[in-house]
Amino acid sequence: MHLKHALKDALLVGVLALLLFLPMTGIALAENYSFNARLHVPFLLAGMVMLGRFIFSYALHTYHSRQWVKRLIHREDRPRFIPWVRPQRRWILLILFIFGLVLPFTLSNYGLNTAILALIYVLLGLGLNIVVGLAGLLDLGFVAFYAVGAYTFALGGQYFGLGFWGAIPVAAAIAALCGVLLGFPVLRLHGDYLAIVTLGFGEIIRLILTNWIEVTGGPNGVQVPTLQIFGFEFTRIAKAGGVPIHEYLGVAYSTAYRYWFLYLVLFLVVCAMIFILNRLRSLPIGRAWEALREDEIACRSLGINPVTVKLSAFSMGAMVGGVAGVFFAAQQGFINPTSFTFFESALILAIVVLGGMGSTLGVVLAAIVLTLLPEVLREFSQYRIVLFGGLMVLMMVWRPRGFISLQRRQFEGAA
Amino acid sequence: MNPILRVENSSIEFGGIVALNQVHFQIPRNQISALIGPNGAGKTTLFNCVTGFYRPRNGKIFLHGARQTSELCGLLNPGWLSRDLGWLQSLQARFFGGSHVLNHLGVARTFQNIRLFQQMSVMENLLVAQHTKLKGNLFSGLFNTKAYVNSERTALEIARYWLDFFELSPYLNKLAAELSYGQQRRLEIARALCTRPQLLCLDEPAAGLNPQETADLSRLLQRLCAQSQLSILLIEHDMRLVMEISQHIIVLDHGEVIAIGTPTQIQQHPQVLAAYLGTEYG
Repeated sequence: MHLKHALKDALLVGVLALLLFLPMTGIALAENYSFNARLHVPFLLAGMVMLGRFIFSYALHTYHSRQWVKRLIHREDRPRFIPWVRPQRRWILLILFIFGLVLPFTLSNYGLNTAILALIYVLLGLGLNIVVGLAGLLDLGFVAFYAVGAYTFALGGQYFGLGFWGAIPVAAAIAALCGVLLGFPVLRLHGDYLAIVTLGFGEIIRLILTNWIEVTGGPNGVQVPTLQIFGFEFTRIAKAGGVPIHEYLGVAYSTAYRYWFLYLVLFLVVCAMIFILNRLRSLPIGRAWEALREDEIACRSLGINPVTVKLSAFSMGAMVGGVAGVFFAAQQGFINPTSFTFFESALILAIVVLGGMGSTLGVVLAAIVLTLLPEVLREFSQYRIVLFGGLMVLMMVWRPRGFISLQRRQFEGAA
Repeated sequence: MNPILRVENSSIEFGGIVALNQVHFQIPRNQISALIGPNGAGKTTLFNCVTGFYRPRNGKIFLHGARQTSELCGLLNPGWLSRDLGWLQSLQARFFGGSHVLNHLGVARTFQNIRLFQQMSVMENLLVAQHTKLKGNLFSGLFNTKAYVNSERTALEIARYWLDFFELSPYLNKLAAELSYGQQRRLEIARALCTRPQLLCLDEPAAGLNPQETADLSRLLQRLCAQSQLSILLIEHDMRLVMEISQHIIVLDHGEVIAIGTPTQIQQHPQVLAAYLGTEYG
């Protein structure tokens, strides 16, 4: 019975494969622009496909494979926890923290750059995680806030003499304001409609940056001010009227100093953000975000004002994105609108989805993996996107809730 | 009668269909009142008016709270500058709906199809309900100030009390989605109670429950009404439950009130019998 079924299956697939492969591989271009029939190739390919399908569908009827399929299809609705990162085990966090602090001094400039980029994506992932993972508002234009942050630093430096330290709070505030501005018109939208509007918002920001040439420099981009700390600069020769730090310390100049500085500040910001987000999850506002994701009407019936909750999610997320933008600008030294395309938004969304909606640890891991993967796979850079897609499909099959599911706060029972 | 809720001549239409027509009644304080009627009579529409999800075209709905009397329709249809709400709230109510305000006045509800926060734990569901009661902002919460810790402790205590009352204590860390249907119904009532209401509106609380669970629910509701300063308005199709626990019944049919009275009066009311069973002459 199974045999018959499998044979029929294989035959059908073989015919389909033949139909597909005949035009694709059956005709070869000859030297004098004529065509030669090369029929053995499609038949060979179709035969291989048939054999594979036959083995596959026959094997699927065995007991073990059925069990396997059952396991595969069964969606895990219970959250799964990684046992070794329980909050009780503080020392693991401490070791990770120290590792993160020491890491830059062991890396080459290339490694440092990659590490900084990874941390920037961690920050972006955390920001979008508030909007998408917790509040359940699908935002496809998150890169807009990233751009706003980066351009606040660059243009603020150019027109108002804004420095790196000043740029962080200013960019956060302006990005949050943009978040509210985006939030207001989309308050009544859900799901797909919301996604389309946010997508449009992302493009609007990019188009403004491209076309408002008098202010933003358009496609030519804009120079970012040099980094400073207590008036010391990280350039070979002082540019902004300060003292180069290597001269002050009496050591030889190295480009690594700048990256070390940037990495350490960024690392501390990321740690602070992880702490704040974890805390937010168990605060009223974090719970309200999640409740809004689950059911807006129920929220209203409980006296929660959905307007303020949504706007706070948008502005908090945008704020984090804006801060990430400042670091991006500081790392690049020069920015232009091509860094803020839709592809970036999609990448950040991929980080959140892969990491596990709402899970902080998952987002951090996914951000690191998705930034390091393209670097490791430089040789096959053409297939990078294919790999991304494949990874996404595999994840959706095996772990539809992301690498690491949300860990819920545990409450003690009634006394 | 000392009413908690007074509905005055309220009407609402949906595209020519009259869902409520000059509905006029009041419900007594600290008692269980039931709203019954055949399918499509307008019970849930009336509920949605009382809890702020619909705005009646005309008429007034008064909530006689412990401290003040509020006109609910006015809150839902404020002018540009309502004195009760302040400019920001009235602007918001105008554009995005202000149904959440009614909960602050002491009206809480459950839904016919359960609307729990499925992917949140039982305890979190109850804490979300106390969102507006939790003191403090982002910063007091982030830095664990004393005021915040205290208000959270109170919220947890209230949540534990209602968990205990509805026999849900063993499940406090489970996801709401993992509970059985009957437990989900009870959790939804517990969640509504966590908002500390004066009027609790239950939309078919016994729908989908087995006879044992219905009996448990009836016992719990009676205990609830007896021991707390709470008025309950419920929609229910299970007549045995309605006659058993309610002291006051309002019968709706085709958007109109056809009878008001005690269970015994209603059982003998000719128009009610006609609405439910059909008249002898068609």
